[in-house]
Amino acid sequence: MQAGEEAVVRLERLSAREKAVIIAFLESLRCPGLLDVDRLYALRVRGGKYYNVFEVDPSLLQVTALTARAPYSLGFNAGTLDARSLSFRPSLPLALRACRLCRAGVIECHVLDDRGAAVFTYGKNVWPEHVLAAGKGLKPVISRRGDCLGWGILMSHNTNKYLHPLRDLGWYLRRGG
Amino acid sequence: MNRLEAKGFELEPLHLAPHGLVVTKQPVSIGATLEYLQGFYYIQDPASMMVAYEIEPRQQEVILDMAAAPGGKATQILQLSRDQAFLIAVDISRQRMRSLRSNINRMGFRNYILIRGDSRRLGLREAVDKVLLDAPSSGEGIIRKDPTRKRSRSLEDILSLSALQADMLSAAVNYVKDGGVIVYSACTLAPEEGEAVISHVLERHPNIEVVPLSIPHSPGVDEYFGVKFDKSVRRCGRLYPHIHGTEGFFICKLVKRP
Repeated sequence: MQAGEEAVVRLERLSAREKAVIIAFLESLRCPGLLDVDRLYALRVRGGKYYNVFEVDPSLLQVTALTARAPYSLGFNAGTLDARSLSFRPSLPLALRACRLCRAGVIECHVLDDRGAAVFTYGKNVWPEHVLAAGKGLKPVISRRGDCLGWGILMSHNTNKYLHPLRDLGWYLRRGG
Repeated sequence: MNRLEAKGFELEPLHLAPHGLVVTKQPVSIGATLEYLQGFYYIQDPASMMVAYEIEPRQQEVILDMAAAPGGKATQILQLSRDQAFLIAVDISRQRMRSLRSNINRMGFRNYILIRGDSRRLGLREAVDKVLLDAPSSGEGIIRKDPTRKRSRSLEDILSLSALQADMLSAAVNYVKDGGVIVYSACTLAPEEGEAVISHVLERHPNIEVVPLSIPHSPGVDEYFGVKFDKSVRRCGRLYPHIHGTEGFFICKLVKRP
């Protein structure tokens, strides 16, 4: 959760440490070009538990100077960084960008069958019989037709393996408004 | 379109808008498909679509949307400019702002700035090229879909909305650069929220003028219950459910003279 309504919001460049976290994430996908790390900015809310990270073009940055009001959101939403642990959660727009590279064979993806895709977009874990191809760790998730579904991570509990949705497109219906 | 048709949807081109499609048969809700979730389309009434066409967004223009949530017109402006115009989208409601952000993210746009707050107090340091004000309104235009609107707003509500709309439109005049365009719209057919607002602002700002619309429409009314408005409000447009097949809507395009 972010801080309250009257919280102070600032748009700032990412620190070297924060940038390193995102570079490590991109390297885990083996796709360092997925985000332009030099154009990443954080929208920091004082007292917030996480902050949103945006890829902002210099021309758009000039437009932000037109108003003294802090933005609520801007540019390409890359994901969120946990304020304490600095763990990075990639966004759904970044999933859509990454999935295009899955289809082109540049990025490794988790691939689900129709049943798995339906379950995944309800934000539920997907059992291995519905996973047609699995990558290692956090990866974009696509359907067998190549439709983007979100981000998922392969997990195991005792001897059972399953695909856990970190972000799924169904969120837009459940929470997006 | 092909993907939806393959899933059993029946679609027809919308004669009012080149990018619009009418859903005539839907096996599941059109708002619950994977195509929708991937941002391939937005669901809105044809009347709302017409407004963005009047803005005629061009690359590199800075466009201010003063009451942007939930984002139908904002996303259409970005779509029409191929995400090459700079959109400043403002809304005062925290909850509706979330919907706006969600819709812009879903559709994958990147040339936007969302600002939550009162768009009358933006404190812009420079004038913008164009302003869209889809003003908060009584929603009389959707009586066909929501009959409770007939009784949910009193005359006092309409008068208070009219004052707010005139205030917001006055702010829009101050925000736009000389030669810039303002498009005012409201989902209502009440003249108090349409022609009266325009007439009032024309009186307050002699440097703006009403220019003709390019979309199909019926003319604005220049007299209502004996109250005469500025003659130029006839150039504004009204969309009627029984004539145009849309929600009831008022649209007016203004230009700020140097």
